[in-house]
This record gives sequence, structure tokens and C-alpha cells, in this order.
Amino acid sequence: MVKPCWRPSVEGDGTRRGGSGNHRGGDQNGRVDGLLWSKDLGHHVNGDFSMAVIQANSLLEDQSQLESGPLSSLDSGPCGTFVGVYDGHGGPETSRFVNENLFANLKKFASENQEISANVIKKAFLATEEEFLSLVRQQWSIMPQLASVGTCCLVGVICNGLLYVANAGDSRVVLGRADKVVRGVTAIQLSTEHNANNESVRNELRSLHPDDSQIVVLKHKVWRVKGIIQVSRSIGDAYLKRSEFNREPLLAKFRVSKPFSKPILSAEPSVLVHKINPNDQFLIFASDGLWEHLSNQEAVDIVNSYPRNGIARRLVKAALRVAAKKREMRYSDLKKIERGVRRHFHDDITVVVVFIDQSSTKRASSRASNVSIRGGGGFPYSS
Amino acid sequence: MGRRRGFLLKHRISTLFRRVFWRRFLPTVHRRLDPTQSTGVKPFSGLISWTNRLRTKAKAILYKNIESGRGYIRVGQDPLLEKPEPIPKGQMAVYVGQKDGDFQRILVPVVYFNHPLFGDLLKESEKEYGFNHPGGITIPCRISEFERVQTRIQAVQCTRKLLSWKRTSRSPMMY
Repeated sequence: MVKPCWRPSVEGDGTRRGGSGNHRGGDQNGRVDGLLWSKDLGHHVNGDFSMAVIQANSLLEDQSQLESGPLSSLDSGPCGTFVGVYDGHGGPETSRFVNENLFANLKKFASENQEISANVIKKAFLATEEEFLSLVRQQWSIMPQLASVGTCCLVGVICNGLLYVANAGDSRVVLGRADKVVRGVTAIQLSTEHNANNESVRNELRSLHPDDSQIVVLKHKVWRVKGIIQVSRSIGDAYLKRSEFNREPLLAKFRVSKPFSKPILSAEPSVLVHKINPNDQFLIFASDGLWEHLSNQEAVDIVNSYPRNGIARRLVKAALRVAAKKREMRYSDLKKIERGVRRHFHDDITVVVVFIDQSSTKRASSRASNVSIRGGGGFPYSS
Repeated sequence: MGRRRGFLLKHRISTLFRRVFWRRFLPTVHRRLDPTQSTGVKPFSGLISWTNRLRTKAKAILYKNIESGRGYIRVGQDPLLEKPEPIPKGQMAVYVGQKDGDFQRILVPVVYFNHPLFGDLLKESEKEYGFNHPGGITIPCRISEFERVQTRIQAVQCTRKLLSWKRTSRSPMMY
């Protein structure tokens, strides 16, 4: 009696899943399988790469890109690989904006300076922030809610044997380095994260805002800046940067009660310059959705143990398996949960695995690997 | 050695028992969760809950020795079999209850999560605990209210079933 009531919907879901294969795009722009997008293997100037994105929010808030080839608008300028992971919050607008504009800004400053440097990357971040804040100002009367949207921003640039990592927010890049002593590959975290759950970040905020006792608040067992947001640095979040956006017509729930004179969040990235070592094998760039479920070493071990083709997709699936286990369900059943509701199980997850092939790093001038790819490019819901 | 063999045999019997009777067990799990059954046919549901209790007790006796002899009996065992009750396919556990009271662990069909009525419960969960609540999904509402939502979802699914045998699961959104 009861059985027939629930069974058809399970079967129905099965047919729908099977049918989703029809959406598959060509391999050039990656492929789509339900809420999972992946580019299983591609080549950049310095080796191979693999990308994957899983959507959890009803509108994908994670954006990402990989650009390989000239890093400035000059022919004689620097050449290399650029990776960007942008984990949006409050909506997809800022992460999309950064995906469209940050690399162009980097190219502009690299052309002016005739090189890639920590300063060039920093300038590109701040210019993108300024451009977005002017867009918020311009749209203020018709779309005030744009002031409440922001994005974390993680960038990696490989150029002339150097790796630049710039981060604002809580995405992370981990380096896999061959270790002869343990006969494996060890995980080395390269990015500095700006999440209020780190004590150092809370201390930094308290010292920057000595008069505000409510600058960090514990809520839902999670530390949040002003009880609102977990990250202390981002692009966007205009209402936490400038008082002019912390007022009507922006809805009260997006506003901070007391007016502020100093920006609460900052868009300035932490930058690290790393000289690529012959033992450096690969980099795993990912939004915090991955690191919530996998440790740095677990992720590095997976990349080290399986073929390169589809490795980013494998990492995403490994994280989803953990997520399903935490929610006391089977991985196969997690796939039946639709976007939006999925957010109760995991966040949007973006993974970019960049292999560093030492032989191709030396001949960085090879123009054959000009690539420009956007994560989730084939998603029916991504734009 | 003889003792150890005894345990293994017990374990195997229980596994075999579970595999053979798995399909037959499933409906009872559903009936137990199905509020229409428990409210509509009282004596029958009483019998079911009695058999369920009996089964749980029997299992507890069967597993008691294994638990106490943990140190050596687990060596070489399939870790999947260690859990006394794995989550059945197509279902997941949620914890339902109110702040001060006890939370009840309830198995629900995974497809319910895509239903708008269930979505309302999930919104409450998000308000109370956020998305990153550790462990199972916790729904802050009275058991009775939760059961009412389940009944309504089930009713809709049954109607749909009558209307069309081969509808896809997109339809819960359009019901």
C-alpha cells in the first residue's frame, strides 16, 4: 500500500538524471553532468590542468578561470599561467564581475610595468574593487541590493619560474611537493586565509577596530565579522566598505546598525611569491567548499594517487562523499538533491588542479598553449 | 579460537538475515514513519511498533557481544558491516525536535528534500542553525508538525501516482 506512493518519484528521478547527459557540451568548454561541470584535462604554458565545479546554490556563486599565454597586452611582455577562483556570497554578481574584469586589469598593469610582480597583482585587485564599487554606485537607485554582494578572490600566477599567490577571503591553494624522505607528496598551504574563525584574523580585526567590541561575534558556533560575514577581506560587500552604501534603500537586514568611518572589510590581498622548486609537482586551487570536507594532505594524496585526467572532478566527488556521510546519507542519494536545497549539504565547490611540468616551465615562450577557460562555462544555470 | 568462531558465525547469520530480509524490512520502516498509518489504523501500527521493538532488542542482543569484544573481533572485518544499521538506499536521517526537548532521529526519503513543503522546514533549520551545522540536518519543529508535512507530501505523491505512472520527479515542484 505504501510502497507505490513513493517509488515512482525515485524512478522518475533516475530517468531525469540519465537524460541530463543530453546537456553535455563539447570537451573544449568542459562537460556537464547534472550539477557538476568539469574540464578533465587541458594544457597550459607550464603543464597540464584539470578543473571541476559543483553547484549547490540555486544560482552558482563560485566563478573561476584559467588563462594561459601572454599576461600583458604586449607581445614582448610576460607569459605564463593565471588561475582565479572567486567564491561569491550574497549572489553571483560580484564573482561574475571579477571573472570578467580582474584578468584584464592584471594585463593592463603588467603592460605598464612590463612585468608581473606582487605589486601589479595587488593593483589589479584594488582596481577591480574600485570598478565594482562604482558599478554599485551607478546601480544604487535601481538595484541597491548589489551593495550586499561580494566575493572571495584567490589568484595564482606562474611566470618565469615564480609563483605568485594573492588571496582575499577564505579560498585556498595547496602545493604538492615530492618528498624523498617520506616517499610521497607533502601538502604545503601557500595562501593566507581571512576567515574570522582564525584567531589571528580576529586579532587583526580587533586591533584595526579597537573601539568596536562587536567587530567579531560568535554566531551559530561560527565567528563572523559584525555577526554577518565570515571573511574579513573580499571584493564587493560595498555596505561593509563605505558608509554611503550602508543606508536605505538597501534592506535593513543587509545593514550594519552603527555608522562606521573606517571600512570594516578590506579588498587588499595577502600576496606570497614562491620560487618554483624542481620538487613542486602540482597546485590545488579550491574554494572553501572543498576544504570544508577534505584536509590539505587528503587532497594532495588523491592528486598524487590517480591519473591527471579528471583529477579535479575526482576531488569534488571525494568531498561530496564526505558531505553525504556527514548528513547520514549515501553519496548516490546526494545526487538526487536539487540545487538550492543542496546548500544544506555542501557549498558550491570549485577545484583547479595545475600541474607544474618543469620542462615546459623552462621554455615558457611556447605560444602553443594559449588557453582561456571559465569554470562552469557549460552550465545551463551559470549565467 | 572456538569463541571467536562463534562470534563470526553470529555475525554472518545476522548479515545473511539482513540481506535476505532486507526488502521485507523496508516497508515496515516506512509504515513506522508513515503518520497516516499510525493515526488511521491504530491496532495495526501498534503491532508494527511491537515487532520493531522486538527486532531492535534482538539486534541489541546479537550485537552486544560483538561490541564488548571489540578489540579482536573487528580485525579484518568489513568496516561497512560495523555499523549496526546502515542508512537504507534512498533515505537519510534528520533530527527533529525543539530547542529544549529531545531530538528524534527520523529516516526520510531523500526525494522529500526537493518538495517545497519540506523546503519550508529546511528554511527554519537554516535560520536556527545555519548551513554548516555539524552532523545530520536538524529541523527545529514539533514531531507532530513534521509528520503532518510528511503526510501532505505523501498524499501529493500518491495523487500524482494515480494520475500518471511515469511522471518525472520535476513534478513535485509543479504539483
